[in-house]
Amino acid sequence: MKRILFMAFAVLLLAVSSCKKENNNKASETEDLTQIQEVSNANFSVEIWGVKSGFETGYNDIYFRVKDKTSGVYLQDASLSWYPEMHMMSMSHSCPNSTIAKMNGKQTLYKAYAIFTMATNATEYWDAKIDITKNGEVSTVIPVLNVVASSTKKVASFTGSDSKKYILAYIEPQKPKAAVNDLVLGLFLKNGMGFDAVQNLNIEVDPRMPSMNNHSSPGNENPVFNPSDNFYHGKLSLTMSGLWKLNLIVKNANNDIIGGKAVTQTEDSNLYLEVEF
Amino acid sequence: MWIFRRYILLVLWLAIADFLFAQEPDTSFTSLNEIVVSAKPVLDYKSQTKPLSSLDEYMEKMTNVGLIKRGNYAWEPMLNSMASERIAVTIDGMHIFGACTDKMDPVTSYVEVSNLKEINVSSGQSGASSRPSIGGSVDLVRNCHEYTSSGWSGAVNFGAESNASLVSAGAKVKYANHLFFTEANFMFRNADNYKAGKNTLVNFSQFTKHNASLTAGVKVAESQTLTASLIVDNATNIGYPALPMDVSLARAFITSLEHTAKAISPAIEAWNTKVYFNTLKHIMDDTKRPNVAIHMDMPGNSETYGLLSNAIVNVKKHKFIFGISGYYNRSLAEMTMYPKNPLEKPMFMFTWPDIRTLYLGLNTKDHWMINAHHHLNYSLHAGFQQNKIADEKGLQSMEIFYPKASPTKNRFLYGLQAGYTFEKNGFEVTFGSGYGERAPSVSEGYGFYLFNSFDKYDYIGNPDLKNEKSVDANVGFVYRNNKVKVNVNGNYFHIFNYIIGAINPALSPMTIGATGVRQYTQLPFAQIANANLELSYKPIWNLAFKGLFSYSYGTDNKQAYLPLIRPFSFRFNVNYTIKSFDFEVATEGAAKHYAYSENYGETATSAYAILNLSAGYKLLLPQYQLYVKVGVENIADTYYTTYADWNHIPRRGRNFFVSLSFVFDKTNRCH
Ligand SMILES: [Cu+2]
Repeated sequence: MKRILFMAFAVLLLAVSSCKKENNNKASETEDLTQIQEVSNANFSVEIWGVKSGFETGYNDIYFRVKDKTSGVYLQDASLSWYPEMHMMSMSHSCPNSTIAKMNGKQTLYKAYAIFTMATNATEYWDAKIDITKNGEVSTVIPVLNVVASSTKKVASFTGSDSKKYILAYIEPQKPKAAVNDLVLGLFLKNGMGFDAVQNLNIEVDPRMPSMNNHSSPGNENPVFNPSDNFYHGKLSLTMSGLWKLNLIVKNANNDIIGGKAVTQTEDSNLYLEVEF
Repeated sequence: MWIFRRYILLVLWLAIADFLFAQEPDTSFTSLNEIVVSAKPVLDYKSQTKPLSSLDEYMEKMTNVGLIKRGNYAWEPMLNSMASERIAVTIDGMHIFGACTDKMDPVTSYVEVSNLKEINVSSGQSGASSRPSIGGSVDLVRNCHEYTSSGWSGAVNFGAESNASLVSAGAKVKYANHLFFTEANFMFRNADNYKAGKNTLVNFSQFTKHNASLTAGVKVAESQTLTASLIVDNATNIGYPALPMDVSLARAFITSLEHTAKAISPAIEAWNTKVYFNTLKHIMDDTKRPNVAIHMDMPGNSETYGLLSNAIVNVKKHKFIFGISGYYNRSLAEMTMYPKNPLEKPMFMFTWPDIRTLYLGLNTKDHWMINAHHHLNYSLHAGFQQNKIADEKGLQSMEIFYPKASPTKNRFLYGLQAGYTFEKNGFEVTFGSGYGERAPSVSEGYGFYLFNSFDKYDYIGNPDLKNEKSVDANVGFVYRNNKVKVNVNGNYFHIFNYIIGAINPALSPMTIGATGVRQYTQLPFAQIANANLELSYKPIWNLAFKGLFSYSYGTDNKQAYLPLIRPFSFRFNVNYTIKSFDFEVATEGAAKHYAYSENYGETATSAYAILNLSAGYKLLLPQYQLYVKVGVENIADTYYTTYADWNHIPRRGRNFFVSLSFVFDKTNRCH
C-alpha cells in the first residue's frame, strides 16, 4: 500500500514537474510576445506573434512559429520566406522588410521585420505570402495582416529632390527613455515593387517637442549607416517624456538636400517622424 | 560669548526696546531676541513695533539680513548678501531643506514667530559649525522651558491689518511642574491679495497658514531632561505674484527628540544630543492663473534625518564646544506638463532626480577669555558629504548633459575661523577672519530645467562642480556710554569657485517663454562686502533715536555686479514712552539701486522712503497682562519696490494694524 502511494505520488510529481517544464519552455520561446494570429494549410499551422497585439504602420518586429499539424511539433529547422504585400484598388506593392530568420537562442521562433507604409482600410489590405520549405517541399500560407495606423508618425514616404521615392522609418528606441537613447532609422529606396536599403545618404535629426515651443535636446548624434543591419544608427537624447518630433533632413554625399528642411522659428521640417512615451 | 557678538549675532532692529522696557516682567511668549550672553535683558515681542508680524518681517529688521520677496509669504532670507545656497538656515540646529525647486519655501516659512525664542545669526565661518556655509548661518531658536512648578499658563493673540485683510490669531497653553512640562502653540494667518502703494492691487498674493507646535519634556534624572517636539505647518492657497505659479499646499512635519545633561562634571557644563526628522511637501499650482502656456504639476518633497550632539566644556578661561553633526536628506521633485492637445501624452521629468545627501561633520569652538579686555575665539570644522542620484532615470537624464556623470559624488569640506575682541571703557574693537567651503546645493548640482523667472532662463545643474571656497574678514568698532552708542562694522568675502549659472547658447530652453538655458558653472572668484553703521542716542530715559545705514557691494571676477546686492539703505526711528504708553515713528528707505546685475536680468530700482507710526499700551497685572498695539505702515501709500523684490513686484502700500495680546502667565524665563 505504502509503495503504491509512494509511486502515485512520484508520478504526480513527475507529471507536475514535466508539465511545468513544458510551460517554461513555451513561455521562454515567446516571452513578452503576444500572438496576433494563426493561419494554417493542410500541413502546417503558422502562428504570428508580435511585441504588441497587432500590426501598426511603421516598423514591426514579426515573429513566427510553425507547427507540423500531423505531429503537433513546432518546426526547428524549417526555411521560411515571405512577401508582404499591399493590395490597393489599382495596384499592389510591398514594403521594406527582412527575410525570415531563425532567432538565436530560440528553438522554434523565427523573426522578420516589416515596415508597413499604410494602414488597412475598407478596400485596401495587407497580406503576406509565407513559404515554408521542409525537406525540399514548399508549402504556402497567405495570412491577411491587419495594420492599424500608429498613433504617432513612424514612417515617412517622400519623393526626393532626385525624383526617387524613399521611405524613412523609425526603428529604435522602441522603449524610449528620458535619457540618451540609441537611435535607429531605416532609409529605403523604392525599386520596382520592392525596396532597397540606402547606404550612401546622410540623415540629420533635430528632435523637438512641439507642445513645448519646439524645445530641443543636446547630445544628439546623427545616425550613420551600419552595414551589419542596413540601418542608420545614432543617438537621440530626450530630456523628458511626451511627444517628440524628429525633424529630418536627408542629404547626399555632396550635401545636397534630398528631403526635408531645417527647422525655423515658424516652420518644422516637412520630413519628420514622431516618438511619444 | 561677548566676543562673538558683533559678528556672530545680529541684533534685531528694535533692540532699542531693551533700553525702554528693561524692567518689565518677561512672559516669554512670541518674543524674539538676539542672543546675548552678557547680562543684557531679553527682548520682548510685545515691545516690537508690530507684535504679530510674520517671522519674515522680524528678520527684515536685522542687520545684514535681506529678504527676497516673491509675494507676501515665504520670503527667502539672505545673510551678508548671500541667499539659501550660501547660508545655513536651521531650526534649533536641525537641518531642513526646502522642497521647492524655485525656492518658494525657505526653512523660515515653516515656523511661526510664536514658536521661537530668538534668532541666532552667525556671520561667515563663525556659523559653520553644523553645516558648511559661506555667508553664515541663521538658527531659529525655539522656546525653552524650565522645570518649575508654575502650573498652567497661556496666552491669546489676535492681530488684524487693513491691507490684504490680514488676520492673525494664535493661542498658547503651557503646563509645567518640577518633573514635566508641555506646551501647545497654535497660530493661524490668512491674507487676501495685498495692495501696493497708490491703491494698486497685487493679484495672487493671498495665503492661508496654520501652524501648530507641541513640545513636552520630562526630567529623567537630576540635571537630565528628555524633550520631544513636533511642529506641523500647513500653508494653502499661497499666491506668488512674482512667479508664474502659485502653491496649493506647503506642509511640514518637523520632529525632534533631545536629551540634555547639565553639569556633568565641573568641566562639562552641558551635553545635548538630538535626533530629528522632518518631511516637507510642496505642491505648486498654476490652475488659477490666466493664459497659462502649458498647465503643469510640480510637486516636491524633501525629507531629512539628522543627529546633533554638542558638549560644552570649560577649562580655565576657555569655553569649548565640541560637536558632531550628521544628516541625510532626500530631495525629489518632478514636473508633469499637460499638452493642449488632449491626445498627446503628459510630459514628465524629474527636476530633482531623487538626490540623497549625506553629511557627517565634526566641529569645535573655543571662546577664550584671556582677561577682562581681551577675548579670542576660534573654531574648526571638517565634514564629509556624499551626494547620490538615487533614481536611475534621473542619472540617465543627467547623462544627456554630462555623459560621464557619476551617481555619487564625495567631498570633504573644511573650515576654520578666528576672531579677536578688545574692549575697554565703552570702546570695543573686533576683527576676525575665516576660511570655509561649501558643496553645491541640490539645484546647483542636479537641478533639471529649473526656470528662474527673474532672468528668464532654465537652469541645469552641474554634478561636477567643485567646492565653493571663501576667505572672509570682518572688523568692527563700538563705542557706548549711557546716552550714545556707535557701531561701525563691515565684512568682506572673497569667494573662489563662485557657483553661478552661465548661458549655454547651444541649449534650448524647456520652459515656454524662457530666453535660454544656463548651466551652473564656477567663476574664478567673486567678492562681496557689507558695511553697517548703527547710531543710537538716548537723551533722556524715555526717548530714544536710532539709525541704521547699510551698504553692500558684490562683483564677479570681471567686475560685473552680482545680482541681489543691497544698495545703500537706511532705517531711522524715534521711540517715546510715557506711563503705560509707547510711541514710535520710523522711516526706512534705500538709494537708487544702480549696481544691479544686467547679466542676471536685474534692472534699476528707484530710491524710496516710507514712514511708519505706531502706538502701544500695556496693562501689567500680577496674574495677567494685556498688550495693545496700533499703527500704520507706509502712511503716504508710496508705490515702491526694492532690489530684493523678485521681478520688481511692488511692496505693500498703506496698512493699518492692530494687535491684542492677553497673557496669563507667571514670570518664567529660561535661558
Ligand atoms: Cu514651488
